[in-house]
Amino acid sequence: MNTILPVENNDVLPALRSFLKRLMNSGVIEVLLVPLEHGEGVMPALVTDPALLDSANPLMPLMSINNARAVSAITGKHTPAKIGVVLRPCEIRALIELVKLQQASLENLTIISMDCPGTYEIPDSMAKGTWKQASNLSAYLDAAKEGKEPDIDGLSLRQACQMCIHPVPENLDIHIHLFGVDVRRGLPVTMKDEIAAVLNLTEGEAGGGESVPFGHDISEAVARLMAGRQKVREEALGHIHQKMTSNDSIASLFASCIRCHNCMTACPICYCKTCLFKTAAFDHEPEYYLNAAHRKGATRMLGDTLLFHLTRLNHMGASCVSCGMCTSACPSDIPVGMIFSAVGEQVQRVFDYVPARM
Amino acid sequence: MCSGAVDPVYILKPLLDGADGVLIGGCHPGDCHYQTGNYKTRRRYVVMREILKNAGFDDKRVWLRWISASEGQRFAETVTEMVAALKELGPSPMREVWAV
Repeated sequence: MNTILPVENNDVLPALRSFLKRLMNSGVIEVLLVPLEHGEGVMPALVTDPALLDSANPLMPLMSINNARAVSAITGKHTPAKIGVVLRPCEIRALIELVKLQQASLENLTIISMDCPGTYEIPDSMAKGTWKQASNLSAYLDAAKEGKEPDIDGLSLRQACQMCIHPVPENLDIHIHLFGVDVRRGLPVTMKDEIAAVLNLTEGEAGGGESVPFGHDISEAVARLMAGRQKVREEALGHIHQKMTSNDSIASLFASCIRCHNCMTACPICYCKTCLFKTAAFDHEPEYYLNAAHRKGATRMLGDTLLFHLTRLNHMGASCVSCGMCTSACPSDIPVGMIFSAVGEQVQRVFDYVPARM
Repeated sequence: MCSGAVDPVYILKPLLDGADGVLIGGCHPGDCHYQTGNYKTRRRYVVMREILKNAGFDDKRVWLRWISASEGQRFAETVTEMVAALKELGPSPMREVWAV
């Protein structure tokens, strides 16, 4: 069912917050996983007190973690309450993969998502105080309306977002539209009929505001954005493949890796409770290193770096949803996510497997 | 150990250390004590070959063959065959690559 939530004084956030409260007060959900404003940014939180939703801000384009991991923590074999989760499209995709891997459940879950024009590296926007200024969020929403890349405060989108070809959420219950619509005049929402019935919302309701059209403008804006993103993705992955086929192979891409395991920690798909690489399995005796050095004339210290990445590629390359959290987490600026997307795509093709397809 | 329990890390470690080849032996399809162990192996093997290509390895260096624990003769023949094939390929270039 399509409806339009009224927006007053051109301010989208209060309309969004009151909608989230309405979901909670009407009993559609009992708790909500949503980013709350905290300091200069946002922090994902599990909220039971509707009053705290006055600081909910899913529009701020920052993503500290892929929240599929949070959903995995609060669902599972038994989901103890009617839980609502506000997720970005890549978080839903990771969640679907975790469900297939039996690490999360969709039972009792209401998934709320928005069109996602992309997110920014947190340190970049923190340094500039970008999101303290309402005009920047405004410009961000304007770009979404036009289906153009946002140009804000001289910031670049996260590498993964620049080449994201899934900016429109799928497999969800409530879809808040940003692409192709002027959200200052009304916030278009598509939701399941049963939810609309509980909320007493009717088709096309505008609550006194001007109506915003569904359809043509939306698909045009999405098509415009996708065309650009597709091109960026092809070029970026082509570049990675080129580097991998050159003489020094994939090893050169991980040459500056400090083996901090941040990429693994940030990865929503890497779910093993005990990871081999966090055990003492690779803490070798001194003789081991000396032998290794003798064998090849030299050995990388501390070593086993490429082993770590290749193993991870084997473990979750097929499920990689290209959220790029690994790249954002890398202190050595290695394009981990691009490498995983490039190799992942190759593995997925063999099985005709599409991650996040139900 | 069940071939379904052979994590890719067991194959990758010797290859990166410079081994010329790795042979994975598993029970015949349909003959798994745990029902699906060898099907998991087969799937992982396909994934691994794709990834090895990107790591500059010749995927001919990793063999998966169905040899059950009672097939000593077949095991010996397979190893002989593999050694001959690896000799033809020559030593693994990874013997010289220390920066991994």
